[in-house]
Amino acid sequence: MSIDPSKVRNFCIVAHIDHGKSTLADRLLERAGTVALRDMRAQLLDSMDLEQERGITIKSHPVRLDYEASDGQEYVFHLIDTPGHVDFHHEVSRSLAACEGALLVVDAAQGIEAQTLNNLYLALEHDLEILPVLNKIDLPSARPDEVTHEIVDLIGCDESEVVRVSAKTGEGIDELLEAIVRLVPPPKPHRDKPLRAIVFDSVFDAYRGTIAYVRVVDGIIRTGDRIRMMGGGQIHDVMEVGFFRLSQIKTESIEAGQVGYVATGAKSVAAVQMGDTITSDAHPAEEPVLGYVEAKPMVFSGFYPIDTDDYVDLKEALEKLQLNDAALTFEPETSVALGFGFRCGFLGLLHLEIVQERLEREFDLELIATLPNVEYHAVLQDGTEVKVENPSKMPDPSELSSVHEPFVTVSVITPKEYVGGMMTLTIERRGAQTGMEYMDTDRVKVDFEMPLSELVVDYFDKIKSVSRGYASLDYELLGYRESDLVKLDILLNGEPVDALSVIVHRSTSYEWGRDLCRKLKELLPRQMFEVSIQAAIGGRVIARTNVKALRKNVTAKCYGGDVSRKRKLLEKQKEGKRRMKSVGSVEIPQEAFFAVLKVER
Amino acid sequence: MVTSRDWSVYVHVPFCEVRCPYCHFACFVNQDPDFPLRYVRAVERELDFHSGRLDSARIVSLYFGGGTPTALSAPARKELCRWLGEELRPRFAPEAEFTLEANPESLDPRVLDDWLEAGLNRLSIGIQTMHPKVLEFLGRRSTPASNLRALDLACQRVDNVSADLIVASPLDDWTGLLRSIDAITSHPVSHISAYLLEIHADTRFGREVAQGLWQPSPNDQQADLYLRLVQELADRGFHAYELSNFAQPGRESRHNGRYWTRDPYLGLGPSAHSFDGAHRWWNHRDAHRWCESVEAGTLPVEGREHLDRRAVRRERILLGLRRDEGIPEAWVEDRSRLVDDYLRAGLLERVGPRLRATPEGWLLLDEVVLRLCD
Ligand SMILES: Nc1nc2c(ncn2[C@@H]2O[C@H](COP(=O)(O)OP(=O)(O)O)[C@@H](O)[C@H]2O)c(=O)[nH]1
Ligand code: SF4
Ligand SMILES: [Mg+2]
Repeated sequence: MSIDPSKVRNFCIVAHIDHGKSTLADRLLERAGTVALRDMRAQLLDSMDLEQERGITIKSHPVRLDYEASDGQEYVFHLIDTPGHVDFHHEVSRSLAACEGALLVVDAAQGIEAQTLNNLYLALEHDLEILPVLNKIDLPSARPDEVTHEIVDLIGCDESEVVRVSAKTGEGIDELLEAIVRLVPPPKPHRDKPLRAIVFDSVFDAYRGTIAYVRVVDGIIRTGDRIRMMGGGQIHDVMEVGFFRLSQIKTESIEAGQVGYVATGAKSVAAVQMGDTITSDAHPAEEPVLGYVEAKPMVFSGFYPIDTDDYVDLKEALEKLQLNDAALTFEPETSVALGFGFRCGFLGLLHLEIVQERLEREFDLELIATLPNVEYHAVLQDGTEVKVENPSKMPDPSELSSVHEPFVTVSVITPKEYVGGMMTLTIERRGAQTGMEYMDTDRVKVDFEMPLSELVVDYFDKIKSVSRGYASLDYELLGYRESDLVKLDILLNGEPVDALSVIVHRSTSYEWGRDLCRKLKELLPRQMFEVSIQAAIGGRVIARTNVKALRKNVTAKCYGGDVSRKRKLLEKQKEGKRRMKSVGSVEIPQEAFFAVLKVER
Repeated sequence: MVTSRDWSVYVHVPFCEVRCPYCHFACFVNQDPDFPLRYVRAVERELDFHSGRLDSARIVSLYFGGGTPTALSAPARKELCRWLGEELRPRFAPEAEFTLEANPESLDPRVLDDWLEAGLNRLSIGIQTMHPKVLEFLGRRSTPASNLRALDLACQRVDNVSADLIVASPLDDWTGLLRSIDAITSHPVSHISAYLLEIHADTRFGREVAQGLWQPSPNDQQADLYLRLVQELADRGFHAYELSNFAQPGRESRHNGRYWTRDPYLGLGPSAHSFDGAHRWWNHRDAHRWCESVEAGTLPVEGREHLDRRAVRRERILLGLRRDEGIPEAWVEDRSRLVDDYLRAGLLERVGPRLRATPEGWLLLDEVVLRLCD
């Protein structure tokens, strides 16, 4: 489909979470007449149930708008709403590669937050034109002038370039649409060059296979073309192409400068990796659009079906999710305590939670997820390095020469009265401050370096609570550093429970051991034998306690010859027991596996 | 259909004078003066449905349970006893055991005479406790004095008397329990059933506990009481032949014993259960529903099941381990690791080729059986 490239504007919306990306997208959709009023609902682009419920954007959502500008010309906007959570940096980054401009949305009451900065830097890396948007000016607590100054200081623009809007009331939206026409550069497409299209997202469709969301940079894609993935090497025949309204609209072709979708028929999203470049099989391009960077999982957890019979279902469910989520990794693993399951890799905790929730909801699976951990690099005495994604697999201390763990830079922006509490928390978590800067008279940005492992468990929640919800946080991987780490094992009646092993810093290992034993004592039901709970490091016990034996569980009366009832009860209990996990003769209820999570620190 | 010469008969009498707060049995407080007689006629008729089955059989035990059989109205009782004497007694095996459950407050010499005439030779009295506070808590209408009167009367007229106890209600302690044992064993009682109090959800106690109004006595305390009880009764000549049943030598309840050894029995009356060796079936729980069904000439059966091999195996283990004779070890040879664990923990013991539960094991029997059954 031919559209005059000078009339095309490709842009995304980036912002700190909750600053109003999705709501702003709603207004643009409405104003540009794409959505009939009766179809209008809030957060229109967030189509997943989970996105709607949690009010967060998880996937990138593209949409095409037709806009008649005040110059009387028709423009075609391709707008991409990007995920708003640190876990999904990668997705944001790929979406940026599909655009020429970015609306940087800042909440007029909150001001610049940690993710505002990171997203801005990302957009600048991709050479995007930044269009600053001050949102929520309708709020009584809005501080439009102050925040405008913050923005001006940050990006060095002119005050007049900051568009003031309310995505709620619609105020300023017309001005914003005009500013987009004026300021976002049109694409400079090369229709005649060999095809290059960047895949910024992909979804799996039962009928059409993997559907790549693309931005065509050069050339043209038509239905029936044979295409090749430049990074992955796979060849696909194009079943269908089209562009996005709220649903997908089929066209004959999509051309350089345009955003649209390509149905590849591929049976797995892995065959159409996000970030990869699509080219023509017959006339391939020479260079991909982006240096292809794989989204690397940062956080790992073991997922085990509660009912061991569900193993195959879990595998199939993970495969299905992976079709739509290339960042999700999983490998089979076995645990003495939990049986057969998968070690899954995630971008971050939110990603983990989302996957877990979808497995439970959409696939009706009941799971035990082990405590999230990072990937450790263990260097053995003989110099070889092993990657450890499962704490229980950490080599014995006697074989180890050193252990390295991922560190991150964290920036926290917080009102200054909470700096003290936040620092205390961060130091407890082995964080070291590297910088501090006043954003304005009231708010401070503090930078830290800290081990990712200390951040993944609940640092974010804790930061929110010490700052009464005012602090914002963002982080980025820094690299691996050596740390004095030990593996803490939990033994029940002398037998190690692999799924309860944790890797902790030596300096806090005693507290960990003691608290874990105490928590487990609360969570383990009394059994037919006394159960000893021990915490040990490399075979040396550092904390212990025990759970007294259960003494009575019997039906005193088998009345009037009603044996059926008793037997059926037994059969029901047997069913329930199948779901219990056991180590040696100790039966462990699910909750116990979350003990580590519940240890108050 | 399995045929056997020896059958037991259970008759469920659904009437009670009040509803005890812990009771989950099929019983109700009847207001209709004509219903008891209708009920008795229906019992008679229900037996007729099974005449084919029983024609060639002998009745080795007969048990009237409830409910409160002694609470039957006089006309109903008279009719029942007439029928018993004329119809059932001729089918009794020699030395058949004929038991009646009785509440102390409704045990009256005239009532007893009618039953004795019909062939009664064993009486089971619901003493429950001799502690006045506990009696009150349990919602019983008897007093320590009426309990004693009932024991006196029973022992004068009947040779084989059993007393029921409820153990480990929240107010119960060892001193109180000992007082009850003293009172009972100072009579020529030959059998004691002692049940740990169970709280069932659909009872007044169940609701009270759910609301947090009071708490059942702690497990450990119940276990201590039970173990002391087993020892104390053994010292007084009552051995535990089942986990809740204690008897002087030779005075074990034959009727109940046949439930645990899986011998055939026929249940008559609402909610009664029957077993023919291969099937189990049970009657409508609601007395009127049961009655109407019988009157209409249809079997008042609510449910029935055929036992497959696995079910039989489970029943054998589950029932067998309740008895002091236990089970042949060969029945659980596929669980030898567990058996060893339980032997070591003192929950089971070996007697020749058999395994039986110790008193500690009885206390945990539901757990043990759950794991020993496949
Ligand atoms: N008062 C007011 N609230 C807004 C405005 N824009 C968004 N919101 C609210 O701010 C919250 C976060 O908005 P959302 O669009 O989900 O943010 P996102 O996380 O960036 O996608 C929602 O409760 C919106 O209703 C605005 O202009 N004014
Ligand atoms: S007397 Fe027996 S059957 Fe009747 S209500 Fe009380 S416990 Fe239940
Ligand atoms: Mg959103």
